[in-house]
Amino acid sequence: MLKLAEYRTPEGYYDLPYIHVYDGDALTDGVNYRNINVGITQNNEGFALRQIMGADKIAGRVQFRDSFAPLNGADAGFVMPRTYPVAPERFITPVGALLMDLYTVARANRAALPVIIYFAQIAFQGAKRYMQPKGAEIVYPGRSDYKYKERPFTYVQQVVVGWAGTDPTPRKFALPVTEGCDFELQSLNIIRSQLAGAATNAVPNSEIKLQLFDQFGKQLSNAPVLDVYLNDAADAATHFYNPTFPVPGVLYRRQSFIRVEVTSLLLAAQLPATYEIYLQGVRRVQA
Amino acid sequence: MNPHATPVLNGLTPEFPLGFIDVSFDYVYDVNLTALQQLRDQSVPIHTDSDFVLRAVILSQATGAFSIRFNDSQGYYLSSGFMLSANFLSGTVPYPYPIFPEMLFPAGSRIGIEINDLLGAPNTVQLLLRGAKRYRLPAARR
Repeated sequence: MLKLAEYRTPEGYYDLPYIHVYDGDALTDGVNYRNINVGITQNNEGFALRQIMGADKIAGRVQFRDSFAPLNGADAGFVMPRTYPVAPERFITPVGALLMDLYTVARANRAALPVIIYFAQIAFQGAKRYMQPKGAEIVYPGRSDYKYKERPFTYVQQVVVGWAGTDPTPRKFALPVTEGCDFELQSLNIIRSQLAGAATNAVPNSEIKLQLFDQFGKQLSNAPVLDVYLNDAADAATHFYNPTFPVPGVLYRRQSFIRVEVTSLLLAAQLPATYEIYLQGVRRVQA
Repeated sequence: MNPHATPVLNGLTPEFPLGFIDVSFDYVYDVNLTALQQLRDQSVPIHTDSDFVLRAVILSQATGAFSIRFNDSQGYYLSSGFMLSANFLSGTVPYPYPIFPEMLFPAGSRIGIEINDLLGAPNTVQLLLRGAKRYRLPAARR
């Protein structure tokens, strides 16, 4: 069997799994925008860019370039596939920039006039790269302080959305990690089980945004992320973004909490809606 | 390593030839075909700053069906005949067409293309020629 060598973060650094999103809800349809600074890095961290998702939700054509060079040779942008892997990864240095051109902006939305709820979001997935603090060794997913065997496990969190997307305030949910063993989160599945009070069994299509945090409360994205960029249960016909998050996995120690914040993108007529969020991964059972 | 994720998301260990470094890059081929037009000797010039390794072709846009074949500067054709555009789709969704093993195009050379419209009407096509620029490292960095 062909086996790929396991990726190693450069010596002296650690990688935080991260999705950086750019929200274009305030842009104007039909207009071209040049040199938008996506703001992907800050003074003390770089970003290893591995995948871009969802240009189709914001513009007809796009172009990206970092401080070094463009990601491709298009003259006036390119029609980006729904998922655009960047291989080998492009490392955006600390204080470096990722710039974006948008041609013919067309913002994805859900409307029942006069109400329009926009979700014109593009997602940059990869890892934030920090220098290791002196005397510490941070590593993701993270180490357990006991000997263990891994067992597959899924936490199920039900979320009832009873507020419309006109209210942008996220609602907080916290799921305790129980049973006396650590849990490593490796992927998310989201299924909608109720819409407008009627039973469904469907993969949601841009109906909620989620923001995740690690066990220490550290954000794993700069803003809430569209469900379709996180949902491993994607439908190949209509939601083909091929997402898996978080990568690498994230450890939640026993007695900690998996904290999720949910933002609604639904119209009032679609309420109430219920979503089952499946937090998949492995339990580290004491050996 | 996250076993649910693709190798790209997990991070690919850099394995370049000694003295080189790969930087992800795509050349883009844009063409507006007229009805049943047949174009020969089309080329995508490779920049002179680096070699290019071609690893996949993605059809990012097409009004309708077409057929195509690729060649390099040495006249080496990648297929014995024209390939239908459906080869680059899974249903209606663009699906990467892998070039394996990767093909090296030297700096200043070209990717040759021959393309035929099969739609019988104006056909706007965009192809992403995915791969990486292969830069030679300065002697001090080798």
